[in-house]
Amino acid sequence: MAEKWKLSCKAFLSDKMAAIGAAIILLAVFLAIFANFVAPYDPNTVAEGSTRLLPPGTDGHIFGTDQQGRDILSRIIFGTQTSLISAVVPVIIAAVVSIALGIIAGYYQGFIGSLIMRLMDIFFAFPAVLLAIAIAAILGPGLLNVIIAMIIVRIPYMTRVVYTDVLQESQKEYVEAAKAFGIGDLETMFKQILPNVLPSLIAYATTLAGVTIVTVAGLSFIGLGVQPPTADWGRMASDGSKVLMQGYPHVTFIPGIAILILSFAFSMIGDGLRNALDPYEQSKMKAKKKVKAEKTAGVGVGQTAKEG
Amino acid sequence: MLRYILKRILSTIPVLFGVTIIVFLLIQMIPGDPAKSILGSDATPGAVKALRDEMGLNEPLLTQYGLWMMDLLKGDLGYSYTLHKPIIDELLPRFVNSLILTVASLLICITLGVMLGLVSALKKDSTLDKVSMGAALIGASMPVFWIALMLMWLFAIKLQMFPVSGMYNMRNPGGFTDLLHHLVLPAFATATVSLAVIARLTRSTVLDVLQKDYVKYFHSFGLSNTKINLVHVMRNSLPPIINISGLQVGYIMGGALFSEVVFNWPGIGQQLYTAVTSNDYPTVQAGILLISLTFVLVNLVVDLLNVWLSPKLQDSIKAE
Repeated sequence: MAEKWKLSCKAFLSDKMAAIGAAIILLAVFLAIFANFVAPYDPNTVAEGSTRLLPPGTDGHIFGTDQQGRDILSRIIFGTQTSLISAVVPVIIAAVVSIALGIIAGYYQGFIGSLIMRLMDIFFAFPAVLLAIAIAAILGPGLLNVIIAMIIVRIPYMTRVVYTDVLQESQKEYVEAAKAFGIGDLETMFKQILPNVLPSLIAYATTLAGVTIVTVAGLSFIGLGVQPPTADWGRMASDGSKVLMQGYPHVTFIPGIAILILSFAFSMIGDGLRNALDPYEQSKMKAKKKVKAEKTAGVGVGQTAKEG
Repeated sequence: MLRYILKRILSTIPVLFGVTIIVFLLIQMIPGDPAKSILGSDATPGAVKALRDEMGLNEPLLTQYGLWMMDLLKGDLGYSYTLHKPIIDELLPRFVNSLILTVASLLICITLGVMLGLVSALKKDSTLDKVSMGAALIGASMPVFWIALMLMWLFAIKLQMFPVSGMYNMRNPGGFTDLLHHLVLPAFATATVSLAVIARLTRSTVLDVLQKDYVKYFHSFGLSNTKINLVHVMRNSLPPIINISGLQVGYIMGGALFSEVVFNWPGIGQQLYTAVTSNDYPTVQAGILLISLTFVLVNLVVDLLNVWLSPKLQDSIKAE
């Protein structure tokens, strides 16, 4: 097990894209926490006419200003807060619920299992974005309701992933051994099976976090989600579209790029984790290690031969 | 085979049923009194009471569902108090417009996605492969509304190659070519993300198939490269490609909403947006219902198509 983790970590770190993704997320977390100190201006200070819609590259406003004269860079920096929250919180909560549902369904199968999984099938009948819009619209605008909507929308996907993994794990000998030892169902499910299905769920959840950023931005775009004046990338792009016709694309362009970069970073980490967990990739790492070991051993043998 | 098809068709019935339950429950999720929320804050208590009676809100939940379902089967999707007309009258023509946009986007993402993926796989590690796969990687992370806005800015505002909004030229409607002209930008905006996803999947699938022993046999038989690649490799790569394309339909139906809003395309998505912003809950409900019912049927067709095209799947069904 320890060996497996080591190989996974190595495989992940040697993946350039995943490392770049991780660096971007760390930067975003840093900006979100220290936004007050990092941002050059207050994100909500409305300015007078002359400093409105300044183009990017203007002195003091590297990303320019929006139609209310607010500094776009500062709003992007503050926007990392809502973006990270709306990406990570729903996915984590959905993951916890999905673990419970997926493990119960996969372990017991039978009536309970098919009941849970058929229920999930119904949710797959909705295009995810539309279901999220409908739920958020009915609950009313606001970050909390968007998070609730995203949790509901993500649960079926994650439950299915947990369920398929648990089905496979349940066939394995260690589960049978646990049963033979008289270990209780709960302990078998959450102490024996869970650690084995968790890694692939984490990889999937990371990718989903990236998708969620984009979906939440869409919800903000149509007016659900964070309400003004709180800085939010989706809302910024949406507001910017009002001055697009007048020839100020930067107000829309820059927040979109921010959404793209953060979402991309999450999916790169997700891909990296998935590859790192892939036995094939691990065996490649192992093979590399072996070649290295043989090389060093070979040198040793040669030396002793000479000495002999 | 026939049994499988029948079984698959029957299996959609509980799903359709479940969809109606969830959509029905959506209205129950409205915080406070749904009748009051639907009519707006300035409604008289009398009007609220009348609507409560009409919706059967005082009845038990199951009776409410029964009543709603009966209406639904009669083709009655409810009444919009914002539009002041039966919702079906508003949504049906829009449904057709959305269908046009969805089908166009689907055609774009499948043909271009498969072509790009196939060429990238056959020319693995070439500049073309690297550039297109890099673009696909980024393309898959873009919000649809943002792609739509950027396409609009570049091609409609800056270059003035395509119209900014609508479905036909208002002053001088010009039939099919006019429609196509208006369709290009919204269709591409809706298709981009799925195009990227399909291209990536096609590439990896084709690369997998190219490794297979039977491909080597074909080569040793002296079959031409083009024939092997286009006929045998493509055919064996189809099932996963069709599968993911089917999944993309849902994504495209969702994405179409954003393109419709940005480009003022008179479809269901645009109406849903209007309904969301004006708290027209019955229309939100009806729109979601209509779209998801369509999606269920599309999934059914995709599954059957997959079986029809894949000899391997047919064998495993026969074995059962």
